[in-house]
Amino acid sequence: MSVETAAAPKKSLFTPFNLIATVILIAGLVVTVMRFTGGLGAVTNLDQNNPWGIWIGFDLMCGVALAAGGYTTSAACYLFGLKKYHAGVRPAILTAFLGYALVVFALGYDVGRPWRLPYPIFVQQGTTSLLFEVGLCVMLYLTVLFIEFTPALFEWLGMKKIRNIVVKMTLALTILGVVLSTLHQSSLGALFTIAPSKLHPLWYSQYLPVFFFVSSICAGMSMVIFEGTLSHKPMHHLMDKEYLDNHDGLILGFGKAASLVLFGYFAIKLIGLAYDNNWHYLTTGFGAWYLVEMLGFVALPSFLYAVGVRDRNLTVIRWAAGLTVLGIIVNRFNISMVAFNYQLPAAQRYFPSWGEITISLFVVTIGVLVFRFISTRMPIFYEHPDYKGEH
Amino acid sequence: MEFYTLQDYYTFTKGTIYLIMGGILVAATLYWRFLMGGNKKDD
Amino acid sequence: MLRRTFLGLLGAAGASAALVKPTQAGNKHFGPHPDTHGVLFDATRCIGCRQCELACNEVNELPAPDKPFDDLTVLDTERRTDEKTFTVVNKYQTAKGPVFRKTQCNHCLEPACASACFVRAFKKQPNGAVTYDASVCVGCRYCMVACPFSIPAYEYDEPLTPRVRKCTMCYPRLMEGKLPGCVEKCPKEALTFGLRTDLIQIARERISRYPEKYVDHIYGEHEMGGTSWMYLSGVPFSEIGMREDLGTASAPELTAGPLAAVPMVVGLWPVLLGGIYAVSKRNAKVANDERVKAVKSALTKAGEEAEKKLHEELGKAEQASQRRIEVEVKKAVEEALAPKEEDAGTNEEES
Repeated sequence: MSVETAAAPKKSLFTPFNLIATVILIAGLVVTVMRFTGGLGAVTNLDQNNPWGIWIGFDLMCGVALAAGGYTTSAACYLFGLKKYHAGVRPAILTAFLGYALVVFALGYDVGRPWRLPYPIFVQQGTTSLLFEVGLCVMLYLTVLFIEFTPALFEWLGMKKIRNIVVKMTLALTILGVVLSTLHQSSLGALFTIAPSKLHPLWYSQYLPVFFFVSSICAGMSMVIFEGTLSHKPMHHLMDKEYLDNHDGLILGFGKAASLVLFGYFAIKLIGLAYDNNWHYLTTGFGAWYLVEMLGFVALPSFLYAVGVRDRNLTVIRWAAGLTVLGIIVNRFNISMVAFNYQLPAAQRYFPSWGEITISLFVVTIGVLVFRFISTRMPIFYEHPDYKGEH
Repeated sequence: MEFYTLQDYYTFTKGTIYLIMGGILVAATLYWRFLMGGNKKDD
Repeated sequence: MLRRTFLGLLGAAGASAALVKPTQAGNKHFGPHPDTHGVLFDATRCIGCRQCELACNEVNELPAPDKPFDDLTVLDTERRTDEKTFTVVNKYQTAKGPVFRKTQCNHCLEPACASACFVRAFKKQPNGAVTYDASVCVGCRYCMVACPFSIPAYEYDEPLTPRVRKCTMCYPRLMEGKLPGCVEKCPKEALTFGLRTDLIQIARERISRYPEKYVDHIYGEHEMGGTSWMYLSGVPFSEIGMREDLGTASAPELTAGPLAAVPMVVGLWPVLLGGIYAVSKRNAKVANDERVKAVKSALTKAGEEAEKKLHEELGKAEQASQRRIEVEVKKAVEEALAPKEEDAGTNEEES
């Protein structure tokens, strides 16, 4: 008897979520046809001054940053030996795997010739390019994530021997995952080091790679808390004892770590300000927005996390997580679209089109639907009875 | 080997470095297994 | 002279401070190739006739523009290059009256587009032209992000075969020994083609011969590491739409720091993380051993205490039973002796 029919009550297919999702899927398919028959110009607001829009700023940059829960959770459990995170590893790895897969999927819309995406690795390597670095690492990491996901798949399919082989590789995959994540998270930031004349001084820094990497740690942990909160009710019937027992501990633990890392992130951003002697920009309009980002979306959540941890108040921690996630999105948006091309007059600035927004929603919706499909069938939130305690 | 631009120089050196990086990851794995092998003794 | 573009002129613009300056490249001097050619544009000679735009359009077989090239009203709006236009002339109102400036790819000595391209679609040719290879281009448009002069344009309306488009310095014509189309067509000799080193000489001579006519600066001599296409102007360059805050650090120099960090991570993270794993595993093992030991000793202690108690209880029980026996024996003896005494008593009464 499968787990869900045993535990879940019979539900109608026509839930509000499913209906909205269907609308988005249909709209997405329409825009897809338009994109590949009319070109990027037909569906986007990209132009010669603004070559990158939300498909890069949101789907790629935010997608990668927010999928960082995979490497942070697996590192916490397998490298730092913190067993209480164990039940959180599979959901985090699944989220990360789907996140990265969708990043590549979204890139298929953005680049001019998506079938040539393998070219930089297999045909002609632009090794001086930080985008080469990003592409290579994302490809490799997607492979690592897929392999890390397969034990759940194999358990579901009853393929015991290969499942055991893969599980033996956990340590190597985890270390490789952290290495690759460090590299591509930081390189996404480093992409912008090539254009100091186009990025507002408050956001431009030679430390951009460090900023992106450190903030990805905060993003990952906060996303694990955030979507652990989102999935708690709908997936509750699937969660086994280990997951439920450790759930609160995981939130407290990540809350504590996130508070500390956010503090560190704030500190190094401060150093970056001083290094480039950019204090006078703080009194400008952009400066005000920079302060909103730093104080409202870095310092504040760090403090809220700390308060939540001290008082063991999970609600406060959850709010801090949501604020951090929002802050990461604000930061990536700032660097790729708001502070980028700051020198252009308002008439030449970029704003996303409906087509771009549709595809971004389309991509996220697919992610949620696939996540739901997999986690309601495979041992993600629970341990498969045949393999109990074998991790 | 003459490089006329920094760009050409970096293309060459970074290319070499990427290959070495791949080798490092393989070698690290093998070396780890070598290091952690041996008689496991409680000390 | 040109070597100096690579010798630590990084402090020029604040934003070009490098985090990690790879000292190897910092001390090395590179090129440019001795055959590097360029074009010198003299803004004091340009009359904004747009014949260069026409020539470029013809030579590159570009589609006809919306407004013909002899329509000078287009100069009233500032234009930029696009996917059908490799070069544009713009008009700027300055203190010295209207000044015209032609813009196109500057064919940088260290092109940002070449540095940024992850399939090496751009190449700085030995003769100075920066060429683009559409056969490998994926269309990521990072080159457009990277170019400080915002030159490359993209064919956004091409669904399946979009290309990046920009001035090629008429590379095919150069290979045939011809001049670039725009240079050949210019009626005022505002464009001069030649070896870059010669052009710099020429520019210096013009400046020294007519110091009131020219601003004492050859734009492109050092900007972004130096460009093949250089400019002379009679008014400050910022007044003719040219950025003067670009600094002299080239794109490869700007990205050298982050690029250098990458292999360090690959070399060291496995060691660091492996170490963390080993230490945490060891800690877990030690903690586990201590726990096992504590449980064992607690069990032993409990066992010993139980034994001791048992022993005591047994001893006590033994003593208790001993005493009982003694009491019984004493009682028995007393009982045995008692009748004798009674007999002795009754015998005395009888006699």
